[in-house]
Amino acid sequence: MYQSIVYKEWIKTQKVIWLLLAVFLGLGIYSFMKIAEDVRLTGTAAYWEAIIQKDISLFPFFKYAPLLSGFLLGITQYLPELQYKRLKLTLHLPLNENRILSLMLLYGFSVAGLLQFLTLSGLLLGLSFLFTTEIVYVVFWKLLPWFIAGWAAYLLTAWVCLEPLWKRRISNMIAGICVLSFFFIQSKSGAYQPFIPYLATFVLIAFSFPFYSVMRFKEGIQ
Amino acid sequence: MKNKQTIYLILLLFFTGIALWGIPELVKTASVSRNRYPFVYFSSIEKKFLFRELDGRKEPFHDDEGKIYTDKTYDAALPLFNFRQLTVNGEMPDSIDGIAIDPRLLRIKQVNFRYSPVEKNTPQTGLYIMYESLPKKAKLESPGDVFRLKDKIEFVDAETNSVNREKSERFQSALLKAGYVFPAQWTYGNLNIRKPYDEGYFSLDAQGELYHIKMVNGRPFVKNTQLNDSIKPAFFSMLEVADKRFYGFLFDKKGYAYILEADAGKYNALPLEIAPFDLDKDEWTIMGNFLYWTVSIRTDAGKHFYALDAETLKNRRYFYQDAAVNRWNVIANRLFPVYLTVKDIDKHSEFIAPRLHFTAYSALWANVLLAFLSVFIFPHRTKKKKIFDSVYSLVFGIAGTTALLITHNS
Repeated sequence: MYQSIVYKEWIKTQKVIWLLLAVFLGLGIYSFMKIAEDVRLTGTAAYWEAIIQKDISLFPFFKYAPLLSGFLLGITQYLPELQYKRLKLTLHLPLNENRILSLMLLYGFSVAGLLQFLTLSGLLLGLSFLFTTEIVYVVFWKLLPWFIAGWAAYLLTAWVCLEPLWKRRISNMIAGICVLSFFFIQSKSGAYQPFIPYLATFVLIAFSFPFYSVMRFKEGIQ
Repeated sequence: MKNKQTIYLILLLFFTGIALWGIPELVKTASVSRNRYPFVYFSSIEKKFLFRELDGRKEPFHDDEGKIYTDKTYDAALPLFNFRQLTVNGEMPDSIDGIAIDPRLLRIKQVNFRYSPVEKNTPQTGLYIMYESLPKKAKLESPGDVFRLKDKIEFVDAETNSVNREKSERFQSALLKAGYVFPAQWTYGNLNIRKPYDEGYFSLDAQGELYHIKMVNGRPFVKNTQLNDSIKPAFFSMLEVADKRFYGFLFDKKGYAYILEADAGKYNALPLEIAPFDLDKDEWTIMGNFLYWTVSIRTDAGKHFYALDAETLKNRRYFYQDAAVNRWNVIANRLFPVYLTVKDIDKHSEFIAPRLHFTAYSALWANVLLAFLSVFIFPHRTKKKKIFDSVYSLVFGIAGTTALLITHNS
């Protein structure tokens, strides 16, 4: 039964997963081409100095990509459940509804996580050939909040989609946008260091949000 | 059901957290007013602080005793600040206090310095650039490598992304020979290639000794500054002054400030005769000429002005001005006993982190009122829920009541 649920989620999301993989790969390749071009035009030493002194962003294209990937994955996974109230059918399967939802959320969370882990590792590994450890570290701290935002966006999208009441859906959406804005505050690389544990804790807590919506859905609130 | 209540509480706290940040943020955006302090400069003629108000008033020029100045008398009272204008008008005095005014002296003795706590409270990359301090050309040139200084000193060549062993070992042994004990606590210098000249870095070693490190003719120059034991350095801000009298400003852990003077191959920390200040909160400005330095220190409560003798840095005059009442503070003191920010609102730190701000006890009345009103706001509840809502509103105020409104009936 569990395998069937995972397969159902895979059928719903496979096209988006391939699309996101292609987009992330494309953005990664383009980013390295852009870095190589900038190094050629300004000189390696001057480029290093610009990173150290001006904190230039090496991967600006990845600012919103993880966020959009989480959002897209959430939409693809949970919007079909809302159409014709399919969620009702899913929850009527001979399994505990909490387990079904956990599995669905874990599936999306893992896919988003794997996609982001592969991308982040690829970018940092590529950078380590070109720049010293400290610069790779600087870039890591710049990228980390953006990538955690991808997870948060996925869970918040699930929360909004699964919410049965439109009024609450809007308030959830506003609160979700507010909290997502915390991941994109204009700041120096590394400025997020004290904030990351709070953001990561929020992501873990946000895992419980969709359960509340589903419980209310099950109670017939609409 | 138990699970539902737990998640309800989590969601309630989540909405409360968002409202604790979002509502004050909106109110602040709509109400905050800028605290415009006047421009202040110490008059070497009047021996008083002269003020130029920036709030658009009719008579903007006055001194610290309230005497009003015209445009012309104001310029004449500050000849060392307005010397270009006075020279054009042919009104520049030949001497002040018996000291002849030489345009070169005016230029090389000028000191302009700013310190903001953000300079200290900012993420560091741990990489620095060592320029040649005795360059063959007038301009500084990029060395093509960067260095790290923590457990050891290492130069990394940018072109090959590999450690330059030979150069690293040369500097490492120079540091060890000078008595430097690793790991470094901090290293400060000016990384900007556009600076007029280079004096390298000042670095605090593991034992709290301050070292001067630079590169002269491609060779390492490392020297212990041998500061007085009573000075425990907390921060150093490099300043390239035209007369090369000093290297920059040294701040100690007690909040005292010094200039680190170059004294015949030795280092002398000359204290500025001003009250200690908070390196993590207070902003500094120094505008100096060859006679006096005007030092302005901006704190949360107000601004302190000191006129220091340029040579001895002894205090000649002091003035204090309270901060203007900010509309946002007035509102916050009445409505929000506690609010949350993630970016430092006072711009004292570049780090992003949740910060709780406590305003005033007077704002607790808003919470009491909301606790009372909540009895009537939410109908159709059990007695237990009514008590919970009231207590929640009492504790979390406007944010808590907003969160209760959002989650009500769900």
